[in-house]
Amino acid sequence: MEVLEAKGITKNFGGLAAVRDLDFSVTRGEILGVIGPNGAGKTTVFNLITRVYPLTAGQIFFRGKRISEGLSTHRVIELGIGRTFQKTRPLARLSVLDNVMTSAFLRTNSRECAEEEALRVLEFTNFVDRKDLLASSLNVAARKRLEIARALATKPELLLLDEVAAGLNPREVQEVTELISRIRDSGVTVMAIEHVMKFIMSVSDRILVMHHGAKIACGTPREVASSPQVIDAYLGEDYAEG
Amino acid sequence: MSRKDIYLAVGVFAVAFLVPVFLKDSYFRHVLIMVFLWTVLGVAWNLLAGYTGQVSFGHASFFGVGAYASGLLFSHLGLSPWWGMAAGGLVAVVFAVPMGLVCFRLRGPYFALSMLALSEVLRLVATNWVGFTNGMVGILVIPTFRSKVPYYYIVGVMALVSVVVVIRIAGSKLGYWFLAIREDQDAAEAMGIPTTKFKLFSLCISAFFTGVAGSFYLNYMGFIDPSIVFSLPDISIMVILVAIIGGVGTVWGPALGAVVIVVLSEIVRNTIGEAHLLVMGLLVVAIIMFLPRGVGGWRFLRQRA
Repeated sequence: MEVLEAKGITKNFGGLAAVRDLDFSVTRGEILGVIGPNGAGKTTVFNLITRVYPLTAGQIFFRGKRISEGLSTHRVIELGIGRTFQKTRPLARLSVLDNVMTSAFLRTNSRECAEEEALRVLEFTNFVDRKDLLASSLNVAARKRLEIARALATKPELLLLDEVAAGLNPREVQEVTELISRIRDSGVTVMAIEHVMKFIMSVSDRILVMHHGAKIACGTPREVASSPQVIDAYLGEDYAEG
Repeated sequence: MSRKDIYLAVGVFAVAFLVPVFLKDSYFRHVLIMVFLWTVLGVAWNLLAGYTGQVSFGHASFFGVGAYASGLLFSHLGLSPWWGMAAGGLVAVVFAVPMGLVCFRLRGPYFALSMLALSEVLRLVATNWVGFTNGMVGILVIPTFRSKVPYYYIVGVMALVSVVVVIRIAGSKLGYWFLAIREDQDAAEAMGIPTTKFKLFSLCISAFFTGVAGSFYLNYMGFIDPSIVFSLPDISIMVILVAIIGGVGTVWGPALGAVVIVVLSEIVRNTIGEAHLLVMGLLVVAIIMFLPRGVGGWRFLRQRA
């Protein structure tokens, strides 16, 4: 069953088509990887799903409900789509726990319930030992993890991860790979933008490849890796032919 | 944490409420009434600016609207300005909603300046709509009490209520969401927070207390005109100083700021007369330089901020 379905979505910024007539869908329980060279429009797709920008054309459906019109960002999140930011946005002057509690308040009005849920999420993300640190004091890896924890605390059905492995060392990449598998096993569908190939190839069930705002391939990691268009986009024509 | 703060608040105010028993001098009682009044104003401004991150340069709007609401109910309908106090807070909220809807489209300094502009608009309306507001002639009411003591307790209770309300808010969902908006509005939105709605909540609560304080001012002083209650330097800027000196984004900051600002300005005014504004300015510079988190942000009084 499709959790998310995008039909012909297009976004123009003035004369620049950031996303062009893109179709894709995310099936319940899968991890869909999104790759593409810089400027391919990957993050724009997330921003279109979460209504940070309105679509120029096309439609997006979440659990069969059209979300591409008339909703504001917070409504989309409330419906059950969580997201992280590529450039992390911690609530800097709050502790890690308070950051996650703030998200947990989306599903409860009680402070006790929010704290309980936040601690549960921090436990799940192996972050509980750092719950009292100020968010501004965290390093890159921890900030990325905080983004994930905060998104999870909104109890999403679909989680949009924007480059959560970028800038991490190999051990940290390994940890976040495991975390994402656990998130999927807990019943959350995942869509992940990533540049780190080792990460995306190992974690994804399917991969969507974008180039200049359009889809150039979509399939299993193996199919995508052998697609001539993909090799072309990444390495240039000479390699694709040979 | 929040329970401890509430006990502390009740304790501090319980002591403060005993003061008039010993302090018979009406000038000193007046100074303390002003401390309480500025506590209410500072706490209200701080909720919007310190907690929610929406710095307003136009809080005189709500002070003036609150004062004029009770003043006009009295002069047009003969309603006691004490009844007008409840109305003052509500009318301030009625003004706050459209002002917020317009100004919250802007962020940071642009929000601050648009609030300033609307506040000046209100001052000019109050000045020039003579048929309705009496213009610069102002509104005069006969003070109900000759003694300062009733005023002392009324404004004292207002200050206590405002502090307790902020403590309660700070420990609740509302407080967490206000802080999230302050830290990063876009991240807050991506956490599912309806940011515009919660900024409006914050503004309305802030405007309510500011409006009630304006009505109290009318009752206490017995006279208002537009240049007093819609004053940019004496209300809008002053309330910012109170909160900054005390410590922005803290529960106790504005109360401390009110003590420091009111007491200092009285001392300076009584000792060096004409130069008091200059000296006040220097003191403010010194406090900002050496206590950048404000008096309340210093050491043990520091709150989760």
